[in-house]
Amino acid sequence: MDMQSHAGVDLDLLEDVLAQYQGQRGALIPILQKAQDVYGYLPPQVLQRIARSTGVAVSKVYGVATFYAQFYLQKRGRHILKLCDGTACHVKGTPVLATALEDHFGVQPGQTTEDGALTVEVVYCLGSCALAPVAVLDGQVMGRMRQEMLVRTVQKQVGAAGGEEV
Amino acid sequence: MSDLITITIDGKEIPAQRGEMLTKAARRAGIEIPVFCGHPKLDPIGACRMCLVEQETPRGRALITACTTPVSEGMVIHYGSEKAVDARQGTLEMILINHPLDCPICDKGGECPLQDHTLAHGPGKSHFWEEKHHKAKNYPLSDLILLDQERCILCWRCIRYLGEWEDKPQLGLFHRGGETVIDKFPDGELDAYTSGSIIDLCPVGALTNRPARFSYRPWELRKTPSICTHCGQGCNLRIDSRDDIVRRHVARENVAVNDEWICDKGRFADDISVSPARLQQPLARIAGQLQPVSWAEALQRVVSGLKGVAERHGPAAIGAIGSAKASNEANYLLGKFMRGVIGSNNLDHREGAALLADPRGLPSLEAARHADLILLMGCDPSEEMPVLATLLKRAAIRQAAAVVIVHPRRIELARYPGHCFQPAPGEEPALFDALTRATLAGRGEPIPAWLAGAAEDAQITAAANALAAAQRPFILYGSDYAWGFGARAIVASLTNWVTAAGHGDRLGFLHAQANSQGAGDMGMLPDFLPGRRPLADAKARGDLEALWQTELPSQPGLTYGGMLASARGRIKALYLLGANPAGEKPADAAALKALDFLVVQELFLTETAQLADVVLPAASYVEGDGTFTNSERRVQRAPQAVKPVGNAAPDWLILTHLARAYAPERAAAWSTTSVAALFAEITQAAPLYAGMTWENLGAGGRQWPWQALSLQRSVQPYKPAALPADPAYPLRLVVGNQLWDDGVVLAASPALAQQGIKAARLHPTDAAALGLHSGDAITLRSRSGSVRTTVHVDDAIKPGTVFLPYSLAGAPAGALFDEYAPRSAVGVG
Repeated sequence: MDMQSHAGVDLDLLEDVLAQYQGQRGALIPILQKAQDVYGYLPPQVLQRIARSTGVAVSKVYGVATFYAQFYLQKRGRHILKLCDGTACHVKGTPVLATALEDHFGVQPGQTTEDGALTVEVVYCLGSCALAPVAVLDGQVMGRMRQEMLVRTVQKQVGAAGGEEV
Repeated sequence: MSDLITITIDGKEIPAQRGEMLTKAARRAGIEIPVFCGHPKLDPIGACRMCLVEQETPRGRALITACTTPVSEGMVIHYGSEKAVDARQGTLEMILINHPLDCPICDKGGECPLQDHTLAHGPGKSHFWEEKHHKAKNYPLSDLILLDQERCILCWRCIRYLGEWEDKPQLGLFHRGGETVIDKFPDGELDAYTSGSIIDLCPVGALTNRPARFSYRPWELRKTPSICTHCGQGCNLRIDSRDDIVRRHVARENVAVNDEWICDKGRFADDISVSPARLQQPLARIAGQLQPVSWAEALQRVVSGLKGVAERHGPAAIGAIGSAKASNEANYLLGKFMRGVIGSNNLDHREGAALLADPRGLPSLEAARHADLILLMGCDPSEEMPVLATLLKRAAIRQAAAVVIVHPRRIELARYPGHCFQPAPGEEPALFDALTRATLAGRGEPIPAWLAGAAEDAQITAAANALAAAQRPFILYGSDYAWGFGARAIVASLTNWVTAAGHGDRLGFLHAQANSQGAGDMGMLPDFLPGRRPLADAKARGDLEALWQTELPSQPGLTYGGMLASARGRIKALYLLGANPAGEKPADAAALKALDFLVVQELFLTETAQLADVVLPAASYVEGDGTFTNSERRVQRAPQAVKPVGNAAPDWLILTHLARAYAPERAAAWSTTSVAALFAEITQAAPLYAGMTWENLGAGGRQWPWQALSLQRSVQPYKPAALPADPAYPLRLVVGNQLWDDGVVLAASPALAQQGIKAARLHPTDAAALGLHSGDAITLRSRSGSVRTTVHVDDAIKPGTVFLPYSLAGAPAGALFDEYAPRSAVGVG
């Protein structure tokens, strides 16, 4: 992670969060959660600012941030597509869906499109195996996905800038 | 409740100390419970699970980690039970799942706990046949340390060391499960001055010594217990060599001195014996050029050169300068040669007569551990004695010792709670007077008239009260306050404060050089004989005359500065051993050129050696036997670890041959043929060393007692010294030591060339006023001269001052010294 790619982060936006937990021990995880609400992810400058404010070493803050899957250290897209690759979904074709997404939007699971429109993430089981394969687009659960349908839905949601016409 | 209890391991009753960890009690009974994360110097954590044993509990047997379990009365432990053995075997198999097993190319192979524990406790084979996780290899944590994340077993030792001892938690454990790695925060630093300790602590080959790697297999190393000679702490270390080349330094435990740590300079600056710049041959000036000559010819030239001067101008025209970096034996014999053979007391060293050091150094390094208050005046342990700094940090954190600092820079230890004063050069005595006044007032004692005008403020009162209330203060002053114009007033005023607070007997001096204490103890001073006995003491002279079988001159000689200043006058010949005045002060180079005869005994062809008539190549401290006396008067051995380079010879041997050649009739007094015998002679010459022998110095050295020299102290008025202002030079110079300088030792170590910031430092407000930014080239000027260097902007610098470290390449601080040295007025131009 280099600082260059995280330029333009406004640390002032963090002040309210830090003030809310000032002097509270053991508040690191809620602070990280709220910071992520503010920035969409946890840029390194934000982790350093949190470390300074809480007195927790930045190496520990970073350890916590990397331990939990809920925290993101890279900028995420304006739209989030979660692709389930649990056993049932895997068997019912998630790998094919992933390939289709890569073909059309140029992103592999874990990546964000260059224009910052779309992030594709893989998760392991959303508890809806009967609907396999399952994708979740911006919180909207979509079952029994097929590649054309998925690409079209994502395209519509993301808008014309998100990828090529099918 | 007795502290001695009984526990049972595998049906055997063993005695144990209440509260100690189970691993420790078991080891004493001969049961070696394997550990990776557990380490006697680190807090227990129980991260690796290698030490699992079964404990009987009311609910049956439970697996516990022995390294985190304190023993208690009646405890019943099963170490060899099937379940315990199985658990440890499972743990080891788990650890080995992703370990690369690249032992044949791993520096740790042969001294690796992971290998040893696998042999003793591991499964013969693994259940796993899948591809191993791949992580970063050869990953530089710094210029000095490489990390192999695949070999790492996540024991946390490195993380804990940096947090618990350095208070620089720069390493962390990131990610999760099989992906977990040790790393720095992205773009983070690993800049603790004892960072290399994590290499010694690593129980596998994950952390390796970058300059040393792949240059040895551990089993073929010759291991010589020795000491470090980079500063006055005298940390114990081990010199590992192969084929007479030093391969690495590792720390050696001596709890009284350095616990089990050495700093990165001590660890990594070990290239002195392989440096191509080392002198390997005697040189003599023939037809204006230094040319190689034989030892016989070199010594003959020294004899005839010195004899010629003695005959023409008398022995008082000859002087010698010894070295606080050279051994006791070297300094002792140089003194014996000058006084006993030449007949001159012109004898001193750079940190000698002009340095207002306590002749006893400091009371005890170990006292730092138990301090309830730390007072540092004009010294910076982080830069001058890094391992002591770790002990002080620990006292500040673990014992809540308040840290009181008086220093022109805001030094690293100022980050701990306490009081930090930054008086400008010249303002120190007024501050100490105020502290003395507040102390006397706080104790209800009368304030003498000369202190009545001293300033009062809340912080001064608080600091004075804190020192007066402390039970076990650790108090040091250092060379920043102990030499140059005004130093006498500073030392007198700070002594007054400490004395008024009732701690006069705890005031110690931090020596910056390895053998500053020893050089003085050996009589490398114009007015003191070996054993710190005054030259004026007729009995002391008589004792020495009997031992040396000669007559000694009784007139005090010239000091270091006096000899150099007289080099154009009454001094006609100088013998310099390990001294490089020309490199430090251009004016001294000019003075040395005016001499009739100059002998330089050195490791390198220094600026001074280049001016010599004869250059004698000396063996470094790793190449010959010797003893050094650290800041707490601990005499320690540095035995020979490797052969001298080329034709270099140990200082003591050179001086012995020289004396015998100069005065064959006195050969009987110069008949010792080993350092052990010579040290025996030293203990006779210096009564402070009585009872010590080369053998009984042992692995940990021996101290001469603090009380052996008693100093009576009381609050006394002193002569003030006002530093004159000079409008042409608006800034005030502050010079000091920094760990990473450009001295000869570091110049010989390519691995260390990039360490540290080598620049003059200015406060941001001064830099802004001058339009300067970090990295800009600047010229510092004083009435004495100028130096060119770069600038580094640093808010730890006192506004109105410029900090210039000693030994910067091309920027000798001495060029700026005048009679106000080293607090000259300077300007930036």
